[in-house]
Amino acid sequence: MVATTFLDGLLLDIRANLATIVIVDTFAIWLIHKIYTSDKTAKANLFFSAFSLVFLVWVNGGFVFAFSTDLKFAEFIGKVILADVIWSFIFLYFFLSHFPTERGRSAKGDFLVLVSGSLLSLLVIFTDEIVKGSRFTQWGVDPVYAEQGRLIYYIYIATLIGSSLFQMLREYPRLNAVQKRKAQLLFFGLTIFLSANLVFNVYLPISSGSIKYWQFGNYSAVILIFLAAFAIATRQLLEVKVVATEVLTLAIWVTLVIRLLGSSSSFDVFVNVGVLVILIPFGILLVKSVKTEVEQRQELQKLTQKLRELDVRKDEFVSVAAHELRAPMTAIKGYISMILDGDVGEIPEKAKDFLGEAITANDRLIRMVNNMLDISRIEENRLVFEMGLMDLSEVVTTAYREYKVQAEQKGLDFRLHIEEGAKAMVNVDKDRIYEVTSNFISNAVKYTDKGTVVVSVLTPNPTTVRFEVVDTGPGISPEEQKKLFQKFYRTESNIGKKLGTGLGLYISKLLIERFGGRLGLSSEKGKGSMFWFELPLVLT
Amino acid sequence: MAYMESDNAVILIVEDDDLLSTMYKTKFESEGFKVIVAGDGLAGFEMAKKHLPKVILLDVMLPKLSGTDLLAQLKKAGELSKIPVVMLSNLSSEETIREAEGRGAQEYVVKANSTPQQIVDIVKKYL
Repeated sequence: MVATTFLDGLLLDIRANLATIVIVDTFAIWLIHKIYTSDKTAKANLFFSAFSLVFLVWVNGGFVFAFSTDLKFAEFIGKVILADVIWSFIFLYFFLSHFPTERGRSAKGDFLVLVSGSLLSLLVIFTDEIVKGSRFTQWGVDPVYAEQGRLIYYIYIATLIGSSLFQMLREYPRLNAVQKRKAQLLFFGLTIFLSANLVFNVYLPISSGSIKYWQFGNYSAVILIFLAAFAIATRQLLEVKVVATEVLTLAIWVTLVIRLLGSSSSFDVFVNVGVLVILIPFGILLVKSVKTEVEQRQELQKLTQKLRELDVRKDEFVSVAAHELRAPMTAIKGYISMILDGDVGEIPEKAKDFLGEAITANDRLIRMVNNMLDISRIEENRLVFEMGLMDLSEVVTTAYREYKVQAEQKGLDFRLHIEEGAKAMVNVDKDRIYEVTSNFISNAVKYTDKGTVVVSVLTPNPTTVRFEVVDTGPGISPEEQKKLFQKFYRTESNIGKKLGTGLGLYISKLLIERFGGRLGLSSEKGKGSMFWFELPLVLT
Repeated sequence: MAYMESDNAVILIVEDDDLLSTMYKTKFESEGFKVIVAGDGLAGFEMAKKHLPKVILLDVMLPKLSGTDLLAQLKKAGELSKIPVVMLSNLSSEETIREAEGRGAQEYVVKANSTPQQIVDIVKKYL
């Protein structure tokens, strides 16, 4: 055996081959363990484990065979491997009938495969009809075939592979997107493995009589096993971080074991054992902690998803409940108004006052329900806006006038300031923008007991128009300010009974944002507040 | 308070909520109207054919045949197509309102925002 190149040297180096075998075995057994334990009842997982194990026997046997020094022993090993190869493809055939989906198979076909495979295996092992013996070559031990037997053997294997692939391709159009991706991965693995074997273990030996490169065919099994495992596994099972950590840890351990086995002195043994003893628990801890982290993250993702669904359901519930509430409220409003209208005759003034209060309370309920419905419509983008150009100053003036009487009754200094020469054309839904401005003004008037409320329209820069309401009310604490524009948030400070529905400012925020603007407030406890919004100015 | 000029004018109320139909019936009767009530869309259509009311008050969310579908059928049904229809619903989304008006409703009234008296006033406009 003369090694002329570095690669040739590697191919002939028993230690290099042994190291490769150890890596392939470790990696494959780790994958088999992972897949098998992930779902022991799944037939696809079972057949994956079976075909992978039989493939490993092939790979390991091939190594022992090629480096044998005893031809009689090699002949026996060679026969066992060739029988094992038959079962590799039989189990692959069964695996492919269960993955990506279970296929309808005929019991007859299965029986035929099993019986013919068993017969051929017996023929291979116990007769010389397929393999007659073995011989030493430059690149390791090579089986000596019976020409006819070899042909039969190859035809059988080719038929098995052909029908496996045929099944797969026939089923392919019926698969869903995820299954198709899995089938593609598997097909890719099969292509690599089969091509490598066809070239290095069939074509080259027949054409040149040389078994050089037999390793490429055998060791490529690990690619097929890996891609098959990857296709079966769910994303959680082969989470990149976990896999990387596990593979790295395993690689370190294997390297250390190999170093230990190759130790030349007792001191080396001592040091290598020491390092191994330290690194084994360290590796286990590392893998565990990464797993925990990944699990927590997945748990968090699940919870987030669940919360989102709950949020959607809550919105639907609010929307349906709000709608259902309207009918009884309509009846309350209707009957009371009929009494007030004198439909049942005259009633005492006091009764009218009380009924008036009842109507006000009921109207508040109706408004609240309307607000809730508006919110779900805006949030779901179902509210249709009638956008148009209008002068914000006019809208503000109208809203200001609406609250003038109320403010003056409270003795407030209630002022309107429209910046001189201010051009305040904005593109908005008139009714909705009126709702926002009157909401701001109404809040200021409601919460301010004495002092001033100033309503202003300003143009802070040539592209923006600003609406402001400044009051000398109780002010809002910084903590409350943060939550003020949230849904259902209501101030709970010393303002006492004067609480709203907790929806007005939230709706204002949704609307102003929908109109391309922004809004906010600045306030200091005990000194008053300023609520404002800004909208893009339309230049005419 | 009776509305003398349209004495005994028949008003058809198509409304599935008894609470509300009873209330509107009471109000309209106290105003001197003759009121008939249908509890679903199909019954509404049959009653309209049979009684030829002067005005129809029509809810939107109705069993068997929705208010907007009934409206479309009425507008295709020869003589019935001339009867003014006032939609009376608690659905207040713009889409629903536009759809109803597009199909020929005279007016769209949101129940929760109107008193029975206001609805009577609206109906009187179409007599």
